[in-house]
Amino acid sequence: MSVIDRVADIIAADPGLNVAFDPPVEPYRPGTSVPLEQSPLHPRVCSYLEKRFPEGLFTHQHLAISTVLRGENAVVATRTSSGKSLIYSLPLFDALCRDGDATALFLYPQKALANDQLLKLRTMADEIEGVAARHSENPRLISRYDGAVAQNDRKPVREHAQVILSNPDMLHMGMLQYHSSNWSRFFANLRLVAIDECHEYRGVFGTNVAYILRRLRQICRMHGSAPTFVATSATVQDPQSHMEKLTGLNFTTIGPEHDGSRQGRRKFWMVRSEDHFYDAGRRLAKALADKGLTVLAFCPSRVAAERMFVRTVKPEDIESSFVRVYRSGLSPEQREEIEQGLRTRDVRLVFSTSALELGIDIGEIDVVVCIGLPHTMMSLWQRAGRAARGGREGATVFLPADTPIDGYYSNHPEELFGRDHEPLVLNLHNQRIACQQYACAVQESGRDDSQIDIETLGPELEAVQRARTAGDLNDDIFYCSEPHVEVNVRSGGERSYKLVTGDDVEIGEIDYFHLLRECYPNAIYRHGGASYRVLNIIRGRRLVRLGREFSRNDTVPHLQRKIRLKQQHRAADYGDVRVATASLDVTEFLVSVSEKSPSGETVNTWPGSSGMSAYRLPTEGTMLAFSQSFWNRLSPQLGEKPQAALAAVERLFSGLFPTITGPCDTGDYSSAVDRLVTDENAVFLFDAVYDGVDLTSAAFERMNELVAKALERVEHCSCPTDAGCFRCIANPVAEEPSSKRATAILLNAVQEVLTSTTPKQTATETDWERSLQSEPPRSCETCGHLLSGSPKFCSECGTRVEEPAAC
Amino acid sequence: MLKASDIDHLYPFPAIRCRRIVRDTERRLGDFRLDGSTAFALGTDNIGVFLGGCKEVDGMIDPFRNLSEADLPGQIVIALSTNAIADEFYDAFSIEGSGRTRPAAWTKGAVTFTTPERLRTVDEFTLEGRPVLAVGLVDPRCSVYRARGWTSSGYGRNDRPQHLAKFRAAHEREGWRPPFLLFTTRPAKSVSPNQMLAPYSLDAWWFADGRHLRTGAPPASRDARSTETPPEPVGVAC
Repeated sequence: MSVIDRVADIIAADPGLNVAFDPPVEPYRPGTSVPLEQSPLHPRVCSYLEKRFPEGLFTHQHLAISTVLRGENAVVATRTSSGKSLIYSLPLFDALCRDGDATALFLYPQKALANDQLLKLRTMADEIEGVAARHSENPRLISRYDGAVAQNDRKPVREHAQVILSNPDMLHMGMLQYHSSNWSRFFANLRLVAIDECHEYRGVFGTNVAYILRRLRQICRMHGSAPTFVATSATVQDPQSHMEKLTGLNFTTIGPEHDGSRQGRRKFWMVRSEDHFYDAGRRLAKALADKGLTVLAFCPSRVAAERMFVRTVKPEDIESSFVRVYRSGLSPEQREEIEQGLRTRDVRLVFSTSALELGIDIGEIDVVVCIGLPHTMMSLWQRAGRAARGGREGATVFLPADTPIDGYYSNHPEELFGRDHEPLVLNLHNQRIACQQYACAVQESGRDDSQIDIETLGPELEAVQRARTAGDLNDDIFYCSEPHVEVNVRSGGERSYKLVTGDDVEIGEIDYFHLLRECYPNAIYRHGGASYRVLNIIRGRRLVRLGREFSRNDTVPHLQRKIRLKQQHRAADYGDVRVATASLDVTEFLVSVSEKSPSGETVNTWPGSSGMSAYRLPTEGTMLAFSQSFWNRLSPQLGEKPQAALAAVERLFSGLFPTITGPCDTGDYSSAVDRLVTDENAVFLFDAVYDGVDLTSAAFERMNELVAKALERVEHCSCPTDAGCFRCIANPVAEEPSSKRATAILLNAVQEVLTSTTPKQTATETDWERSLQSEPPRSCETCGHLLSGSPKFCSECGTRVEEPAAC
Repeated sequence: MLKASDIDHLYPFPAIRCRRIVRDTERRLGDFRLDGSTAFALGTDNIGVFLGGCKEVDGMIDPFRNLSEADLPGQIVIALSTNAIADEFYDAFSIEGSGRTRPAAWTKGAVTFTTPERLRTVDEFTLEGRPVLAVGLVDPRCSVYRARGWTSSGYGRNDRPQHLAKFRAAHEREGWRPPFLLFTTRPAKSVSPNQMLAPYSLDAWWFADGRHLRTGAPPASRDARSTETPPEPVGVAC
């Protein structure tokens, strides 16, 4: 019986599951190959390929390799499991065959991906004539260079490696910074830069990487090289423009229309259950694994993955079980054990977070179960792509969560599967990042502003240079001896904390955002199936001390969020209602912690912040503010607790935001309700990353649409009670019950104002936006000092400054 | 509004002279000469003069002695930043007939000395009805602008720069205030004069090199050189 039939039988046998969407099976597709005689690769590489791929390369592989060998930058955006890593590996070996000194840099967003590829590349090197001999002479010919490489091993890698597998963080911290002292040989001979899973470079991370790649190009120019860039991803919208923005170079796209890969039979289901989606998903995944299938169950969060694991396996069976949990924060050994177990089928069920989404080789996965719909379309297709690899058969089952957005898509599944991937947001205008990266670029250019290659670094850093010259920018970052240390490439926030057990064993890491949610004092923290109690947090040493915990209780943090409006930018004033984009300061702090038994009974409560400091996020967002008179007029109609209606509107806005802007990662934005200093109530949507990435500002233009969608969700939800359900307005952690009636009244009133009134539009430019304009700075006529802003007097000599002539 | 010609007679000669410079580069911008037109410009535009690089206290006594001996139709009020400096000045000037205890303010010729806290005691009686030509602050460490004496409730108890600003405001005449001069050992490029503008209630600074400070009546030859007709050389063989 085929995999698809077996999964269909198991779903049908579970009475709690209803199939909501059952599209036809995607049939097997044989690949289209190009004979190797037509390949422009070096004859030694071709002879290797003849042994491994006698039919030749797939059409998209042939096309991409030909493009790269011509010296053109290429981005490959074909399906998962279409042999993309071969596209950058073969030009590498071609370069090594032609030039004994050639070097290459492969960048991966995760260390696990680099580790996986390292083994494959070394195996390939051993099978290619000429390269094999050099590899045996120089075992470090192909090496990893990232945070996991021991300090003692780094020097030999720097001296002997010709192919470096790394990540943007290490490129920034360990390579570019020391380019002249440690890496001049490598950068002088750099022929190829490969960027794998390029869709991962978005948001703050992507913005930082965009600048890091520009700095890499600057350094290559200094050393006299001009490498070719090749990027790959299975799930990227508009790959060409994304890569051009990411690198500042022109790219040729090899897209799905060129895809000649072989694809196995593939089947999707969307199922719904009356039970909680956690229980239904866990039950289904276990049933599939019990029938001998290899199952990867994607969970919405780290806590969810740990809880499902604990509920599936008894504590005494953890070691012997075929079930594991995989998430970030595990040690490299734990990850390796799980990946190896999946390859050998000793492990058949893994509860995972998004950590296993990307192309790590984890053997033959038969079924992917998505417990809760993935937050992004990229994530959805990456997860689905873990099954049916290499022409084999595979199935994917989706179980929607009890949230407004999942509720919406479970009613409109065809809309979900018909969607394109998310637009990838890069905000090169982010002032903090631009300044930090400028400081790094200056440090790498011999600490001389005039020596930086502004043509390569781009117009954004040119604007920083202009502002610096005019004396407008004097941030501390420009006066650091090591600006690289100040840059947090991934999030722009604080550095991570180490998790240490009582016997001083480090079991993983956690960032401050998750620390506040999962690892506060007295929390029960689950890690790899084991439970720990947080004993204390040593902020100075960035250490969390854990002690073993054997109860099955859970702890729940109660967080509060305060919003401070720093500056309003664009505003549309409708009188009763105001829509505006703004700079915000979002502060989250712990209010109390409660411990609950498995039956849900509260067994202990710790009031206060437990010594946890607040998490502050300066960001950008959009707000919908209600005037005092409007609120006073409406409040009597909203019942006893009008604030609950406001909270329901917030929940709907947050849930449905991706439906108006195109899909976007729900981890990249968030929402809140707060009162402004003007006593106006306001709902905020804001970017959940430092300084914002211009994501939620889209709600400013489309607030009408968002209100309409929220109203439709409330009015058309099939739940019978006024309190609503999790698919519409009910919030599992809200203290006050919400009301569908009150929410609809509020939304109707807002809609009426938005549609019947002409708004008064205003726009305020920030200082930074002004500095980005290319108006040349004025200088003092007496002393020649460059004047910043519009001063009355020169600050250097006190001479009165003449007003510029009006146009 | 006051005109420059209205105060010209108060400054018959430039009693304080120095090199005017650019703050950071210390490039020379010509001379600073406290004459009628300069005093008018400084007083109406609310510009202070930052004389950086002056000598330490004992080296400052001679310039002020010269200044006090100048025949001026008004008074130059000098605030000495600390009691210790005020004691040193009082001893150095050894005013005959005065007691051993230093008064709140004392006058020596064209200069009236006091401390910022005691500026309020400098009244018409102390000044003997003469107009105030300039207000100076001798602040070798350049720290008075920070000496604001904020209490925990947020109110200034002994706000020294504010005393200076108030004194100048009290002597305002039709939009013109006596120019403010800061004498300090610190070169202007070593401090942040912009931060001092608000405490002293100023809009801008002119910077001068205190190492070239000259006071009192200008020497005849220099005075003559500054006029339109150069003097005939005397006793020089042709």
